[in-house]
Amino acid sequence: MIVRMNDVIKRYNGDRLALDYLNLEIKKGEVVGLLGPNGAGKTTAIKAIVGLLAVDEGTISVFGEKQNGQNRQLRRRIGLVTQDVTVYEDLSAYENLRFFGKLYGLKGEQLKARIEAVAKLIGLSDRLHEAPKRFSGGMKRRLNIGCALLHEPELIIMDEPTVGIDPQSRNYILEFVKELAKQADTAILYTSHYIEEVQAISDRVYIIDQGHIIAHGTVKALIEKMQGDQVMAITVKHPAKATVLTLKAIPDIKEVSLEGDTYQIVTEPGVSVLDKCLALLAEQTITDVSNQQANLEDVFLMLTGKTLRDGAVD
Amino acid sequence: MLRFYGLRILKDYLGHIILIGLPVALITLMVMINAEADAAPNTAEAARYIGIVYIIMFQGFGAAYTFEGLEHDFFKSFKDRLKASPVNPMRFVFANIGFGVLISFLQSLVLLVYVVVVFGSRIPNLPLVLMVLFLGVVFAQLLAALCIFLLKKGSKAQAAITLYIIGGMVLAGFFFPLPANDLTAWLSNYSTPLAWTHHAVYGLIEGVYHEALLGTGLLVVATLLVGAVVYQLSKRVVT
Repeated sequence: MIVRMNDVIKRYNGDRLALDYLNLEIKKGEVVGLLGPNGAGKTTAIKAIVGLLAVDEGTISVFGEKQNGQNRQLRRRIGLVTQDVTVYEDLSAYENLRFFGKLYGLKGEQLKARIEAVAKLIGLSDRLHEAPKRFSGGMKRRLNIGCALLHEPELIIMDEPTVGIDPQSRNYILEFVKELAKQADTAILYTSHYIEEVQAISDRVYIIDQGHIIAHGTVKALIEKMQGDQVMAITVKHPAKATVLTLKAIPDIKEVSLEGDTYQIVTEPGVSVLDKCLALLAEQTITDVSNQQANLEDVFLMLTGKTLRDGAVD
Repeated sequence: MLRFYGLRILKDYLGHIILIGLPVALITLMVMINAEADAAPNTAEAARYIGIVYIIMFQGFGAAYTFEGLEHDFFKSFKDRLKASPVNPMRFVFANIGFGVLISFLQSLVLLVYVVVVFGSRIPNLPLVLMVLFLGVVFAQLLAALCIFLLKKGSKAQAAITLYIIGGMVLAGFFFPLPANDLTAWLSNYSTPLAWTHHAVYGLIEGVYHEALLGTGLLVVATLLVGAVVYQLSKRVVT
């Protein structure tokens, strides 16, 4: 076991509960997604694993050793990709990579070889001697990730590594995370509030809300929980947030959310609520009605009553 | 790691221009104005006095190297990345202060060489003068660390340091002549560490060694005290 968190509690300012009896495990060689809205406790959980903050109760073990924040040797085996881009903008990508490699004890030819390998992996081989201040947001993000990979960590922790970048760069990052995951000994903890990212790369997923793990399992297993349910999408011209509650009041409807112009309606299997919904939404001018396959987002919606969209919690 | 901190501080081109170019221009201007005045001392002596005053003043402004570096490393998002590394974070504190001291002292040297070469100023007891100026730099950088550790924001630390320098220079009568009396004489020599540095340097230049020793002693005590507080605060900041 690479990481084991048992009933971890962390309070900020004495009372605000950031982690609420959190239990989480990461095994060797697996990619674990930690999914939750902003403020759910993802970054706090990461800081606790790395040893950057002390928890109030519970235990954390990393590589079989108790994480108390004092064991610097543990940190040699962890690569942390921070949520904010943390590179020196005025110094070249090469100097940034060299600095972080040195911090983790690399030197000489080994350091040089690792810089070249990582630069290739993150697609910056030909821009290595340019300063990141001239880079696009996506390139800075890639360099930010690269700085955490030089020492070939056995555990890579990525805290929302794709926030604020274009879809093309995001895809690039996801592709090389998949490449990393193929290395049998590397475990990856990947946090995000982009459900499709977590769904695409994770072997297992933990869903966290208000500091508590509310579900975990493989993506497939989580979606299977929803398979008995029907998800219907009704798009209208004039949506109204208040209608969500009105729809929820209809018997047999389990959950309703409004995403853009579309109401997502989850019902028990074999139940037809279409007539009632159409009648209720008639005044909003219906433009489309469809049935959808359940996905991880529906799981999240069912468990939390919230949807995740670009960081905003509906 | 040291190479990286060295490169980082050397890349601060604007800082170097301000901390070398500006005092060079000001020293030149002040020496020229002084040469026009009636009953002015000879240019070399005036340049020496003006040069030492500006060296001390810009040592204070050079404190920006330390508080900007420490702010970047420990009061912004970078801190998690550094603290997550296996390196003892105290080393980053020492690297910031150490390179701040080194660069600021080199700037002081450049200014001193400028007044000696361009205006022909003589600096008796040069090695001891350099030692006192070095001590002044160490104090200024430690004061910067103290300000950033207490105020937690570079802009606030900058404001505090600027207030200290301007206030110290005015109190010591370096900017405007103060009325001659016992109080202003005392303020001129002992009001702040800026005055202590100046007093010690001029004690060495004029051969008044007991005064030089007094100024240096005060500076050493202040440096040790601030250093001890900075050490304690830095332990709190890095954990």
